[in-house]
Amino acid sequence: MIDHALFRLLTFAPIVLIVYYLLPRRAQNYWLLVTSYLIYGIFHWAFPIALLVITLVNFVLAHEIHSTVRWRHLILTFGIAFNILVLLIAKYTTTISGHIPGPMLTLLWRGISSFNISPETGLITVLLPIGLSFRTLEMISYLIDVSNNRMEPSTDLVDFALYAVYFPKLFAGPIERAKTFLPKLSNQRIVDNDVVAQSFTRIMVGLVQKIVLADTIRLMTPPDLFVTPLEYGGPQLILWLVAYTFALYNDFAGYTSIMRGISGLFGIELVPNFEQPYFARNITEFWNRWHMSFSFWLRDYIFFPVSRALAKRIPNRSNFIHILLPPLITMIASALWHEIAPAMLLWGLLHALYMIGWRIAAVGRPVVTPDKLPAWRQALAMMLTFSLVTLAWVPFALPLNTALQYWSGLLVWQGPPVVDIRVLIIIILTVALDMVQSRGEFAILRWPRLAQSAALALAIMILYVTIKSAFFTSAPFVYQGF
Amino acid sequence: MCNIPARLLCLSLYVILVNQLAMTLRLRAPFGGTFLLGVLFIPLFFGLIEGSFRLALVDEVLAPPTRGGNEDFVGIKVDKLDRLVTETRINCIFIGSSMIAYGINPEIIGKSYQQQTGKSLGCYNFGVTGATTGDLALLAEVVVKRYRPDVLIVGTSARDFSITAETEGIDVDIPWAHYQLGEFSLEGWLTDWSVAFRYYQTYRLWTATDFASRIERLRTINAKLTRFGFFPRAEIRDVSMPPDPAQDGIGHVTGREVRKYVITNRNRHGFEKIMTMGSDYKPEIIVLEMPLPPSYMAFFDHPQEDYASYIRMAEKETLMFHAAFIRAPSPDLFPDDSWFDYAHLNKKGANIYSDWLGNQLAELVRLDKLSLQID
Repeated sequence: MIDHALFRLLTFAPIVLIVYYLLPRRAQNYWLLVTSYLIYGIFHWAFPIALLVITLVNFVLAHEIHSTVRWRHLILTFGIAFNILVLLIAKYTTTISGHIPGPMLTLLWRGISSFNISPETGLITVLLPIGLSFRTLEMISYLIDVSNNRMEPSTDLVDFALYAVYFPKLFAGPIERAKTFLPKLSNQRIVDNDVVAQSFTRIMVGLVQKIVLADTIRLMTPPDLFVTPLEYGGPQLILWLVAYTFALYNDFAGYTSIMRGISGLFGIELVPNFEQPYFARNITEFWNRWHMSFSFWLRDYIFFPVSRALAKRIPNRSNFIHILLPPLITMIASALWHEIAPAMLLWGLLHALYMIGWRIAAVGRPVVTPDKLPAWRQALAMMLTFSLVTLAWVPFALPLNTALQYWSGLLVWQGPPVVDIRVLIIIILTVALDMVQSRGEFAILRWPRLAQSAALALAIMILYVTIKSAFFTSAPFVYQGF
Repeated sequence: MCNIPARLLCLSLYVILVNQLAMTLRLRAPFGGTFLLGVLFIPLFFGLIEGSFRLALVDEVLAPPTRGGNEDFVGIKVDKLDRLVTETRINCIFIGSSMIAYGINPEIIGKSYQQQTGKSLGCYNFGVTGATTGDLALLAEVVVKRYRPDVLIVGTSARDFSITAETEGIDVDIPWAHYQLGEFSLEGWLTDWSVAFRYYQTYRLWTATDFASRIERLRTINAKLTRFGFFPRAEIRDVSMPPDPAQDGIGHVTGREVRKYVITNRNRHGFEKIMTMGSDYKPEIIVLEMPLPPSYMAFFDHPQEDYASYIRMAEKETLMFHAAFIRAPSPDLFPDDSWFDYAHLNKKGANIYSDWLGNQLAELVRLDKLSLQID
């Protein structure tokens, strides 16, 4: 059974698409804007209002930043603070006591986060507008790019509002840069045979990743495994941790692929987010392949600026501060963006530690790209990177205490290794799909037509069989929660 | 009517829209060939899969095919009965819950009946564990319509009518069963026609956390079930002492089913529906009160009243439909080692009871209370 809201988009998209094709370019943007707001409003009537407020504030701020030199940094700082504050309020004020004073503040608050007031307790439950974390990063990058003269502020409010709310990237990215996205909105879009074929390929691949490879693992996983891990032996904990590792990847990569496919049908190309991340041969390469739009954002707006700031003060690049601080600050920011929680912080620190270790090991050595390593070293490096990333998913997925229990449980080796044939099949399918895609995202489209059709038929049959499986329910995408 | 301005307007609008459509959507013919070919591949693949599943080899490798739903017995019992009717005449079918599944050995009944009457009686045990009379109504109709037995014997017990057994029950309301009764559905048709789809019905629970244990259970049932549908349980349970629900797992479940005893409308109506099959499809109907150890009564909150309410209702309904009601034999008939647990006979107990029941059927025929026109 598939009933969550994002899949409803798939049924909604064809209607939007048909009208879209019948409109001239300018009207297409209006149409996309209206439908995007409508889709967002399905979740809660107040979400579009919140996004509209954020959009208008950033639109005005960008012009203010551009028009002044004297107050530029101050306005930029205010803009960044505003976006972060809105996110913090919406994300971390899940329950607050008492009443919100004044009708204006109530309206603003409702617009920002929407809430329900319990008549019994007076507690206000605040709902996070879906995808707000992603919008925050987009708005901040826009303000910084305008401030650094990397782009002119947008003069078209409709296009800018569409950049903020465009529904295929609304819920969980990819995080687009205004500099590259806005020109796509001001140009005539063309959807030809190749674009249609590529878009449907992305949608089919995404559906297989999400429904067949991600949701099934979630259903198979023992329900209390991530609650009371100590009740399971080490072999079982390893099995399900590896399964989770693949499920998380397929969930998010599947989502991105579906949304990029849908957007492609509108003639608007979204940036890629994944490039076979578990084939990475070191942790830096992993971050260049995992949630790329986010990691590149962190690289461009935190890692590089911190490195540049340090370089001004400490010119020696081999200095330990240079090795330590940029990855540490970047990964802490990454963790906090996901959630302000001790476990998530631990996840960020672990990745920072991996990166620092990698940077220390690289000091004084000639730079060798992983592709030039012998095959056996590449395989070994791939396994090591995969193991490190997999271990780090424990605090990503669990609260701190449970994560620590899970890790300690991994050390208790009771009984023989556990192999679940179903998990094994899913891992093999994931790796096979990644291997095909490692030859190019549309390598399938270079196959002979018969092979393409056979693959399509198999994909449809596997999807049908999975969806019709007893107990099948598709969960909301994991990253929709951030 | 020739409204030229309106036609011109429509034509202009059409040209504008088509022109506009071509601005963004620029498809060149031919297109969609890969997709169409893919759609054509689906029946081809399905045919290949179906062909390979019809090979006998698959039986050895995979768990037995089922007919859908979450219970384990129906599919296996149907397949065994389908095979059996090609080998021998089956004129008597037992339906009921696990008490029937574990407690009736059709071969013993046939022998016992033949000894008494000199006539053969081919019986099949269609007991389905977990079923209540509400569930059995549908299955009974399917069985009667599909196999046309001369006699349908319904094994009952107090739990078969209870509210708890109903709420914790199994799902036999499956498309295949409805398809058998003439209600078309794609899934029902596919389950009936396609071997591959029946295997899919087994494996469609592949995402369940207890999938491996279910597959193992299906294999065990398939291996242990006799060709006459009897599931012999070798385990012996001392039921001379009252059960301890806190420590006794199955006792606990069994006890829960009758503790706060209420007969539900669904189960009562299900029972009535089974009884009407005597007039709808013409088999003779016999109702059994399944034997239980005296210690079973400890599970009831009000043993005398609760059990009596079940007997009263069952007897009344049976009489209303002019069917025979065979009360359970005295518990003394069963030695101490005749029980699998507090609610079920084991193999030894089943054989004793089946022998007794064969004699009872012969006696009913002798007294003309049952016609059983069997050669």
